[in-house]
Amino acid sequence: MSYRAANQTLKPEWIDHNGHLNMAYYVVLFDWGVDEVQEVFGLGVPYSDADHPFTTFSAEFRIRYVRELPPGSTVYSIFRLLDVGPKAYHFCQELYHEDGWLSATGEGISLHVDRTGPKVVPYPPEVLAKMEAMLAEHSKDPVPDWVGRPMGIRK
Amino acid sequence: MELISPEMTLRPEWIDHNGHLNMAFYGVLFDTGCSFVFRQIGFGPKYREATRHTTFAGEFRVRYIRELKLEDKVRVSFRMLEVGPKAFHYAQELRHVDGWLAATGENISLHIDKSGPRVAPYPPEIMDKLLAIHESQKDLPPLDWVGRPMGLRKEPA
Repeated sequence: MSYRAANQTLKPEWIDHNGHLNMAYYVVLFDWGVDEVQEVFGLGVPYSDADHPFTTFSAEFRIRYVRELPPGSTVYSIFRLLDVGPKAYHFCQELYHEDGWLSATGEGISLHVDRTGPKVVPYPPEVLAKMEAMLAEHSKDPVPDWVGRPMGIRK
Repeated sequence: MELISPEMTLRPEWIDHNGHLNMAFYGVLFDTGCSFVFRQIGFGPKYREATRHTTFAGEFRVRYIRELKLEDKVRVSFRMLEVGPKAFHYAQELRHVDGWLAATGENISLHIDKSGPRVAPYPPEIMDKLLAIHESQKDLPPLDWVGRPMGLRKEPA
């Protein structure tokens, strides 16, 4: 069980000299998927509006590029919670072409932040409850085998 | 030998509702900030046209250390970690021109035969340059953050 985000179509300016989606823009697509989940948690708009005290920062993000995306591709991401703490959560994502094949995987850490520091602070109880409910649901399925795999060159 | 990119500036459209560089655009800075090394190795438009080979990113990881604002100017360093016959592993540090660390990057670059596309061995002249860069950086202090596992920090209750 995981959260499926809405379909997105690649922008022409994201295509590079290799004629495919440039490596840097995969994060944009993954981040849009996270935005949807943050709405579910109650961390989206208006909670994180610029004139409100709290927001989320990304602490870390990792991408494994599996298959190139040609110009004009329509894609969607799925989101799975891995771990929830009082001030941060750990998650993974898969980016699929609309035809169903895997293009890339993502793994990230999101922090809950008080902008006035900025400093990392605890989630409100109602947000934490929603995250823990999703974690319980997602934990029914095994963690993907690529999560946490060390980076290196295949020998 | 340290390899450090020319100065780069942030674009207004990369700034998000938090008033800082959006997480997604660090990748643009890391990618742009290593192009001078890729040209030095011999990759570039001429190489791609003459050989029908290119490079693809195999993997990329960013650790966000400190926020960047619109007026900030940055540089990116390049450190060769390992060279294989068809791929190399490298690390990058994105620093404000004042010297403080804004983010780290860790990457795998693949050599690609575009007729596949499939992963293919480097030609000898490229391999020589990759190994020369690796050799020239062997005495630099190790980057202690490379390969650190991702997870939540556990705090005592």
